[in-house]
Amino acid sequence: MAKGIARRIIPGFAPTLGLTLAYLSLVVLIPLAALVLKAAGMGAAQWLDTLTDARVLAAFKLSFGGALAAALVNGLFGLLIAWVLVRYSFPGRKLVDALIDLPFALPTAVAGIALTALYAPAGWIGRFLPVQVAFTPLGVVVAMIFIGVPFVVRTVEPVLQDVDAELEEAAASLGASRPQTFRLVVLPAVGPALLTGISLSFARAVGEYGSIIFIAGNLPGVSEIVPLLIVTKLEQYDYVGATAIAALMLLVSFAMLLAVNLLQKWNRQRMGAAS
Amino acid sequence: MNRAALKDPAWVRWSLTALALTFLLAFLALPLAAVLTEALRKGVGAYAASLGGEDTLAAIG
Repeated sequence: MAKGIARRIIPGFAPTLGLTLAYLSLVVLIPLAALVLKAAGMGAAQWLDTLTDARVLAAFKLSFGGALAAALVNGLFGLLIAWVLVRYSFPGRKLVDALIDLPFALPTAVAGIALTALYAPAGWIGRFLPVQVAFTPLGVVVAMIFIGVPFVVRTVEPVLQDVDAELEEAAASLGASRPQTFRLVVLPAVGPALLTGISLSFARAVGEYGSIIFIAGNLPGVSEIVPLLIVTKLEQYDYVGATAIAALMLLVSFAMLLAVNLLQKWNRQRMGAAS
Repeated sequence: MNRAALKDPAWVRWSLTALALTFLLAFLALPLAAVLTEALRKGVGAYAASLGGEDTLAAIG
């Protein structure tokens, strides 16, 4: 270890590391540690009691199931949108490209109200749909799709741009059809980026609050998401219950962060090996 | 440079583009339009009046 530090050429390692760690501790680590500490203070029986409650289980199922469904839809359509934006040209392409980032810019509460107005039974879209979307679990998924689209498009787009056209030409000259070329040449190249985009979209959907609570209707056990349940418990001064749920979500978030990091590492290694 | 080998048939191009744009219309463009029409439903006057409210101004800046 000491040998490694002595070999560093760039000065200022100690103060910058100190500043980074201090800042990270203040903003991220200490709040999270407080949460874990509070959760650890409660007994195992209390934990089980809170987490096996039917309402809590239903909320977890909806949050994670809905986020998974939304992430998969986003994966499919995100890839399609990135493909269309990179490969084809049509009038208004630049405008559409700029529109992709809208969910990042729009306040989530505004997005929630807009989506509710659209997908309500009398809304612009809702009136044409055979099933009710707003105020059902389906509405939750719609809101999760809305906030997740840019993650997939923006991670896949640059990778798709970098796919070597010569590889595709080589595939064509060897007799591959376009679908074959897409499946065997393009998809493996953008695969890791697509997976990263899908996991980012999933992570965001699980933690999303503002845009979902309006369209969800928040029926306990039916269309209630985990973040809302935490807020509800806090409002009822049930700090123990809220902390237990939050700690479990924290655990899941860490697992997902790890997965995303591993995916990105894998992506880098593949890209490094290819060039 | 001629990239004829990479050119998809026109019907593929148009149907994929149409599919992507339909998705974006339903999930991005229409919500934005809904926000704008709701905001201006009662006219520019009502919009300006609610924007000029004391609480709104305090929250914005």
